[in-house]
Amino acid sequence: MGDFSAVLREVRGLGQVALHGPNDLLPGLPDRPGWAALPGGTAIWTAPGVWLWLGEEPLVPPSHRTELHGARCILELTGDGAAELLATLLPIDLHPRTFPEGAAAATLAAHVPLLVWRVAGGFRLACASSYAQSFTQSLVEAGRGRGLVWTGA
Amino acid sequence: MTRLATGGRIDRSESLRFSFDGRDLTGHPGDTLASALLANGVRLVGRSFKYHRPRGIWGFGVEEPNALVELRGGARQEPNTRATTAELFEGLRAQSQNRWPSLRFDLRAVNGLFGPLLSAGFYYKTFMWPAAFWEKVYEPLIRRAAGLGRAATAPDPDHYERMHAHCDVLVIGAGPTGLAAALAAARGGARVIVADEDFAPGGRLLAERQEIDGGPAADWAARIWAELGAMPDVTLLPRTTVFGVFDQGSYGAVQRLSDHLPETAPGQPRQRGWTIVAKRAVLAAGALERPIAFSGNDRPGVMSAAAARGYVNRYAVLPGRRAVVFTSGDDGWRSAADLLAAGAQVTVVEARDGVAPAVAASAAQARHVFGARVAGTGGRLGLSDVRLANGETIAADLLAVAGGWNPTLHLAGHHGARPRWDETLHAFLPDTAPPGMIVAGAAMGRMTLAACLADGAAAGRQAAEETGHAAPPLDLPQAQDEPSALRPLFHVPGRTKAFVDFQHDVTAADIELAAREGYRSVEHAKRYTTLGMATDQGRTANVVGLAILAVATGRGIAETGTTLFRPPYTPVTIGALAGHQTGRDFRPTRRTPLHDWAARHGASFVETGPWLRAQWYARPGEAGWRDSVDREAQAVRADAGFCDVSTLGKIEVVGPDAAALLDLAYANDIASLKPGRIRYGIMLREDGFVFDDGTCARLEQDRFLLTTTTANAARVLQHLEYVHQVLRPELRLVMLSVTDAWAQIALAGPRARDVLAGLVTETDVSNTAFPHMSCMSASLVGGIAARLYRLSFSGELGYEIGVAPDHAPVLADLLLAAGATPYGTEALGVLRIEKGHAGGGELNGQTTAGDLGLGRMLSRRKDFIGRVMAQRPALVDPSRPVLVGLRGAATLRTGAHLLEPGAAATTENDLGHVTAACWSPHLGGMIGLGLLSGGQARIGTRIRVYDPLRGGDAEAEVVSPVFIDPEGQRSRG
Repeated sequence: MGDFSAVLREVRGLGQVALHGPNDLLPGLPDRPGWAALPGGTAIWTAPGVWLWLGEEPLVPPSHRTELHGARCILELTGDGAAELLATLLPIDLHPRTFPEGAAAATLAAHVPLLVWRVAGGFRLACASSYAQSFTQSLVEAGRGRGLVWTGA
Repeated sequence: MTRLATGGRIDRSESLRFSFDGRDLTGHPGDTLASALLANGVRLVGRSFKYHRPRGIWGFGVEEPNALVELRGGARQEPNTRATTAELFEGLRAQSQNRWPSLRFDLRAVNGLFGPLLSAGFYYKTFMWPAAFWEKVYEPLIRRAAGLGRAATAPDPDHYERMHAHCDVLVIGAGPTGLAAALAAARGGARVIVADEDFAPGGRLLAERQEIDGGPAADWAARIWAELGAMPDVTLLPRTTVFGVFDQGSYGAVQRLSDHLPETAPGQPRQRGWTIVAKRAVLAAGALERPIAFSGNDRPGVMSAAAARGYVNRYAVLPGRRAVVFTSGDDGWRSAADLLAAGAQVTVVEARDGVAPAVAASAAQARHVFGARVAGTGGRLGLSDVRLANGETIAADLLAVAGGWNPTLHLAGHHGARPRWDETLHAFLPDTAPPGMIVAGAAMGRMTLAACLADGAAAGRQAAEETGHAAPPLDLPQAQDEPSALRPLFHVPGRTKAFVDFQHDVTAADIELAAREGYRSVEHAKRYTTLGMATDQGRTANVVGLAILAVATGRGIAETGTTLFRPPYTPVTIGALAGHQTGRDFRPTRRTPLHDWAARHGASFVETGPWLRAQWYARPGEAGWRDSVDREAQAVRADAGFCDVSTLGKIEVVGPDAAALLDLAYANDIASLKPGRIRYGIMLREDGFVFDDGTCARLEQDRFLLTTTTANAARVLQHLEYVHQVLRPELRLVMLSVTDAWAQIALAGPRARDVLAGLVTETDVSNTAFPHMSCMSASLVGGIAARLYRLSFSGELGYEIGVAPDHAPVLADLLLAAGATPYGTEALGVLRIEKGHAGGGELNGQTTAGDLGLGRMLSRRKDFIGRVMAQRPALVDPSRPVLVGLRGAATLRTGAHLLEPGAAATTENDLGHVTAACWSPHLGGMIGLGLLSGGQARIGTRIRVYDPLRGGDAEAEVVSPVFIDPEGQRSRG
């Protein structure tokens, strides 16, 4: 476990909406744990028929969306050491073969419910905003001695 | 010095200074504390547990029962460390333990003279009477006298880490079997993790002179380790013990990252606790040599024969110049040969009458005594002579004992399987293993090198193929199978103590006594004698012990059986299991969007489950918290106050069938609720007791927002999901937790409407337009979108305002500017007790709706969860404790019991208890809520409030639980 680095930053300013409805609510919505970049935003599968939408206002009827404005803290962890750092907290397998780009999972990390998905160069994480400070602290702690850079918001 | 001039796998170019009992000594990198002590001629290392007998080094690794020391000092003091596994480092400080005043002169050794008294079951027989003495007198006394090392008393300054790993194949052990298995699996493309206890790979290969592929076997091991390390999907974990096998292919392991360093480097963990999820595991844990019980077999200088040759070959340490090898198998002859090669004078005492010519020739320069037994030893603090049963005495400083090998099968038994006795190998072998585990090599009874390599390779290949990898067969390295004949010998009967369990001082006579006293079952004999119950868990003792028990009870070993193996395989530091999650980080904390705002305004915080909530807002000049709370509560009753209620659980239920689901979940009617209206609701559990309460707002025809208590937020969502997914899966709806999506502020007080009117733009909040128990969307000044709810927990005219979390501080500033007073959870509690609203103390899982005065809410027109069970006789019994108010006593404390005045304070007379109490600034006295048997009929009478725990005893008046505005006019106005 050498001197590698990882960068942690908070991703702010993305609209947050829960989408709910049939899988063809929007073209390209994933129908299993995973995420997809769609026009105007990113959809992350969170439960059967439910997605976390991050981005601009989604083009779905009001009955198929629920406002989450700011309910989630979105963090991004990138760098060669990102997977190992996360492995100190997450019980799931993050190997690129089992958790490739496009994969997403709902799990627990340091007792905090967490949504994690792989993006280019690392991972994005979403936890309840009320847990943000506590969970960020857990990540920073896990990054001790691993050359983690925490850029804040 | 007993260090040999050449050989060994130590770095002679560098010296490491260390100390033992204050004596300064040196060793080399590559040494363990045990090998370095032996190299310095130190043979006496510790005192035994019960008799304080002098003890030396018996073993070579994890099996060591004798050489237990305290490492380091101060906060990092580490008791009961096996010298045989402690890697030497510069400045290492070790102390012997369990001796007083000194190791060489231990006064408690007089215990040995009372040996006949301290036999099996001594404690049970001696400390029987009086029973009350056990905890206060006997146990502390025994613990002081016995015990082992002393734990550090200061907090652990080190830092630990947790790690999760996933693989196709976990290989446990990096000896010949494990390395062959790992190589076969990894070359097939499997994701492989190899864990080994040692700091160097190779297992027994490091301790032997064997060859693989024409070169030293240890070099082969290093080569394979390097090849494995270069493969991308292979993780090598040296200094790592797999200590337990758990469910679903998960394994617990602890990696010692800094234990071999003088001090943990800054930012680095000392140990790392691993949870490894493996589709397959190859258990290649090898085998451990067992002792033979004979008189005086615990004297320093008596050592495992395999350990003796291991010290020669791995550490270039000759543990004795005049050696006797006592063996009943071919393996002992290898120790004789290696000791001879290192220059020792050797006598082989062979229990068998003869051996194969090649075996005898392997130690030709030794003196051979066949058909012989060692019957005793001599020497004060160390071995000076060995006495044979035939009367001969041989001067010796090393007695190497080869009693055969026990496969290290512990992990195979962690799911409860008992091993079977193999009559050919004279050893226990795993019968079944946990799902996904393949036991291979010496752990499976394959006791020779070529067989281990072949078995390991086959196991590795099988594991890879079973996890979807086409693994080609491994080109097996060239190696020999050494002679391994054995005639088991466990015990040489004699007159003085023959030790079976060195660490717990259990002798052969103890086991025989236990059998005579009726402890024939191996599990009973274990507990009666404490055989195998020390920190080494009987790694050397168990098989010998039960072989003796088998003879004493006239049964075979197979019939006698063995005890169960349970995790952990070796002791595990709790820190390695906890990782970062200690102290404040033990569990995560949730903060509301107003947390920082509240802190800036003088809030003190209280933990409510995971949440931190503002408890009160202190102002300059206030002497104590009561001043703040009284002021805040009075502001709500007389003017306007606001409180952060963001922690209440918020669930949106959306869909055409949302009302149908809620009608089933709530005990009161929901379907009739009109859009824009709110209803207070209660949910029951299936068993008819109250589960949770809260409000249900119908935002639109197909969209509801429920609130739950802070404590039950997750449980309510879980319950509703259960109702939907299991009971009514056909209903079309979705449930979403929106707790974090809305900062929610309660605004209450006679002036609340005026304050709200100043905040909203283009919205009519008059009583007509926005009546009690209604809700709507609105826009606040500055364009802040909000949801408004008119409801009241305090009993005053009240509203709740929901905004996006980012807007919460602005809203709080606006409320403050409008003259409203921020109040915390204490004032909230006062206000709700004054109104007799049920809270956590009353919603305790043991109360019915009727108990809480909410019986009329239970719908008679529909079915709902808990309806039938709520009608059980005991739940509608009129004598059940029901909610009442209490006042008139100088002190009232939650938890105090309620009794008839004058009645004796007995359980039979108990009529209920106080569930909540506070100082009411509006009534100018203590008030409380309680659950009181027959409470309705007792209103107007007096009751005794008895609090033996905190010394309270007073009388109070039983009153209605609604202290303020019983008609509920204020909230409707």
